[in-house]
Amino acid sequence: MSILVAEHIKKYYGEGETLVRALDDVSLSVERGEFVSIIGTSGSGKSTLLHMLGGLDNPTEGKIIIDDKDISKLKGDELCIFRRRKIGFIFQSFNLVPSISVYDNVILPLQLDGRKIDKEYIDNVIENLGISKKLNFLPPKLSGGQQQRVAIARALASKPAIILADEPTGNLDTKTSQDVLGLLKTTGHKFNQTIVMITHNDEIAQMADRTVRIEDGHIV
Amino acid sequence: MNKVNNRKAINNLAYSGMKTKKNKYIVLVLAVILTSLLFSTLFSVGGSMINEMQEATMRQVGATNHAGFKYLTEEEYNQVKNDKKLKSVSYRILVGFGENEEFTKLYSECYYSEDENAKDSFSYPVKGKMPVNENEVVVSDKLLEALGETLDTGKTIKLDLNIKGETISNEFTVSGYYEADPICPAQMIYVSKAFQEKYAPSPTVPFSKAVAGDEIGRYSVDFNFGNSISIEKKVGDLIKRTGLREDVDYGINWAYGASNLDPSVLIICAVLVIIFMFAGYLIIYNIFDINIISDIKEFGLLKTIGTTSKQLEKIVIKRANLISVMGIPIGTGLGVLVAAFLLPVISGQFDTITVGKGELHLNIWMLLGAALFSYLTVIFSSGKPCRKAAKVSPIETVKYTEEYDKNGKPKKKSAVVILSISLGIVILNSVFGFVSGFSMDNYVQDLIIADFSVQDAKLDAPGMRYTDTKAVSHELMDELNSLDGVNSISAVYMNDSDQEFSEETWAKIEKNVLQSELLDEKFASNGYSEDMRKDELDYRLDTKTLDGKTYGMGELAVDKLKVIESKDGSDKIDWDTFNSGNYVLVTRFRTDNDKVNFFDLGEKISIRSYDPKYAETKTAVSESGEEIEYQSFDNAPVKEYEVYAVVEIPIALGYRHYSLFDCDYILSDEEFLSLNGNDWNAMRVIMDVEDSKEGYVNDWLKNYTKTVNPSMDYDSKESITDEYAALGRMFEVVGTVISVVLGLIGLMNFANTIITSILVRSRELAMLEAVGMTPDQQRIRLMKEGGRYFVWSAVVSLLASTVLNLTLIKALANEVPMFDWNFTLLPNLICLPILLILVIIIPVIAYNRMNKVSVVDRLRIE
Repeated sequence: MSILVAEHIKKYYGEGETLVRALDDVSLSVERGEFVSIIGTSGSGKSTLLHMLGGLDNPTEGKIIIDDKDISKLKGDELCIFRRRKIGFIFQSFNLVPSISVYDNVILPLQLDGRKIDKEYIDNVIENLGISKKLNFLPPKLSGGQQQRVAIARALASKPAIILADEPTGNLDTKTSQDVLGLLKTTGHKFNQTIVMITHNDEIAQMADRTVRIEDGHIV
Repeated sequence: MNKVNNRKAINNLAYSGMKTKKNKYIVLVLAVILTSLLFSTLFSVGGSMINEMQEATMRQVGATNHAGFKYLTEEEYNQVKNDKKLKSVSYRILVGFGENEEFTKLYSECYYSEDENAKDSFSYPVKGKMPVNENEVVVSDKLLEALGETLDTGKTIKLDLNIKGETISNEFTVSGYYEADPICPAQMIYVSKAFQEKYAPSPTVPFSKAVAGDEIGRYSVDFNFGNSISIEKKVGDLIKRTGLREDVDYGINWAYGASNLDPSVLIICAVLVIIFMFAGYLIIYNIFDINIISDIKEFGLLKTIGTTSKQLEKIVIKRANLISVMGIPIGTGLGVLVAAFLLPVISGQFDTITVGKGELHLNIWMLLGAALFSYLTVIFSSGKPCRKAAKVSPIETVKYTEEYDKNGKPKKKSAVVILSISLGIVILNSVFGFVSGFSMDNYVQDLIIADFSVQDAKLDAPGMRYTDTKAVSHELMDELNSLDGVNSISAVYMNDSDQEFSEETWAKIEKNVLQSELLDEKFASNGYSEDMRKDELDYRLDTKTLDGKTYGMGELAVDKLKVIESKDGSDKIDWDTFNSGNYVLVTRFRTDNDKVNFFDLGEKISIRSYDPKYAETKTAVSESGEEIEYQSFDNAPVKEYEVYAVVEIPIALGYRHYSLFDCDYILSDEEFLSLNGNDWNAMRVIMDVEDSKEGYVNDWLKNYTKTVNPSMDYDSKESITDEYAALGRMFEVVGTVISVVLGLIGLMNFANTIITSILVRSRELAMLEAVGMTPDQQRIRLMKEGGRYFVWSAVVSLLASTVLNLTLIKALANEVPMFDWNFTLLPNLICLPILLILVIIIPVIAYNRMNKVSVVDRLRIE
């Protein structure tokens, strides 16, 4: 069963002669528990695609269905709440809230939602990601790899339907990249998570169950 | 949507976010402190001044009550006293008037009064108690002193009381005394109820059906309503509700009305309120706006994680609350202190006589209002980045950077910086331009007409009803004339009787004045009701008279008159012609906006003699059948004069009580005396003195008015100039305080703008350093950038200041008396160099601080 279906997505910027077709009729579906990587060079439209899939940006045309819900029809706070509950994000630049502790960052989506915290599960995730000793630190005090592991923990914390990772290793060195990615993959399997990852790095892309290549706004 | 429990997370996000941007929030709190300081100073000073003026008016009126009925019977009092809508009711009963020889200069009234009524009339004993036994009495300290007694109770005094025309002399024991208000015209003698019932029993016939003058023994009933809004209407309702006779005499306490505030004061206050509110709003708004990018990024980040706009709003409001909680109480408190410092200076300039002069009167509602305004400004300003973040998609907000113009400079930021810098200077320049335009010359011109003016001490006091307009005796004038150094001296005589007209002249006045729109305007500005207008007009048409005064003036005084038009076309009165005994000068009918002549030049006017030798005692019969005696001049001779010129009488020369028409005639002093008899004393005397003898004459007058004849007073050119110089000082002090606060705000705004703009671009600067720009080159680059802001700000503020000065300030200064318009850019010229120095220093300091962090670390910060 597909947990994510994208149908004929188009995203255009500008108009007339300056019209840019960032995405031009892209269709994609991802099964539950699958680890898919989307690979493409810089400017190929892969980040745009990810933002569409995550409801961070609206497509010019097309439909995105996550967990049987058409998110291209959601607006404002509705979309925001859907995102909080169903999608976990991992960004290249981590996007941790710098002013609150690591632990608070991890449970923030749950707290915002007012949900009860499944302490056992969170501890398990934290343990698996090896950040249990850093819980009371502020994010800027951590190394890049550690910050990204916190971000993964945060993405997993709300048990989302799907995790979207945008160049999760873009800011990390090779060794750390391998570590972080390995953790992402194993925890994903362990907690039966669907993961869609964007990268320009073939080697990293190969770690996924399936790779999709995108070029000039088309899937090839 | 289900209510979710996320308070903890929101709190955490709100407060921790503030901690990481401590500097920004310190600046914000400072801005809030300054803003609420401005507001609370303004409101405290304004509130205290209004309170002081109201209190002063009440003392002049002699009561704090909202309104009162006069001349009621006991039965009528009972009709009123239990009315449910009255908050309090108290009464006093008129018994008579004090007639002791010692009281000739003190006007005294004798009453039985309830305790409450005495308290409300500022005459409750400070020592002792209200009288109970028939032989007990309470008097004012002034009366006791006049009787040569020390201030104490238990003394026995003899009082001559005029009760219904008979003098009753009795010995009383002083059961208490009160401190008389210097401004209150009447002294009180309070007797017991027993005394009143014995000597002045209350009549049962209603006042309107009784003989005229039957006032003794009647109730004066004072009362308060729940509030002081539209008292007049409430009194009307009360009369209907209680079934009181419709023609009952009542008085409204005019202390409860905004109309007694000087309009120029109101305009100044309104302008200050608007400027301060605007400044306060812009300070806070600007500071938030300058930090908008970092806020947008923060909010964008929170949105990507799934924070809803509602939750963002909560975070914003929590922060605003915290800023307000820290800043507003401090600012309000400081504002009250500043107000306490300013009040004595300001209050010294207003013509109020009250016990708590210059005292701080805190009105909690005004302070709350000021605080609320600061708070709303904070909330509104801090919501802007939130609203902006809500508009763009979260991923864009995270990457949000500024819009750049074609030179690669942040477009909108430049505008904000330049505006915020210019704003402070422009406001300062405008306030300074207005305040520095204070010029007493214009204003004082009308008040100073000669070196000295001598008259009864109460003559020119506002609100005085019983003034002596024949106070300057011929002996005193001779004495003054013989003083060393007196160059010229002139008396001003005054007779206050209605003017009479020939048929022909009356027809013209009826057409030009009584039936003109000017009269409606005059009625409106004097607050006449429809009924009062009709009564007044009917009376005038019936008697064919107008109110007016006939003055007699000597050459020096006539020389000070403002000639509007004259027979010989000159703007000076030719004294010899005028003094020939055939001519009269007349005034015009004036309203605030327009004027019309009562008479034409050359017209003949008849003036009746009021020489006491022509007075005939006549009797009239009142409605109730009682005979009343009065003095009639109906058979006194009338002399005809020709109108020589139409003039205006300077305030300082005339009688400062104005009526509806003020159809005034001016004769020469000799002619006035030959018409009205040589025993007529002058109302005032003005004189010009040799410069070298001014000190001597001043000392002589000081001694005379202090020891020889304390009921007289004098004005000197110097004392009036001093008085207004003090007014000038008030504007200086207030202007300085405003300028300092506004200046501080401007500088803070500027410093904050520059520092923020450097910090926001720390990554950009790090990048430049990474590609090889040395720190020195960067500093120079930042200074150049600051210089660019400076040049633009200078251009904008000079232009805006000039435009505002030429329009708004000019209009305002021309509107408000005492102010002259002058073109000034002085604040600009003082502030701009200071800004230039800051423009150079601040970037260097900010950069040095930032530079402590390594390039690599700064590059990493997104």
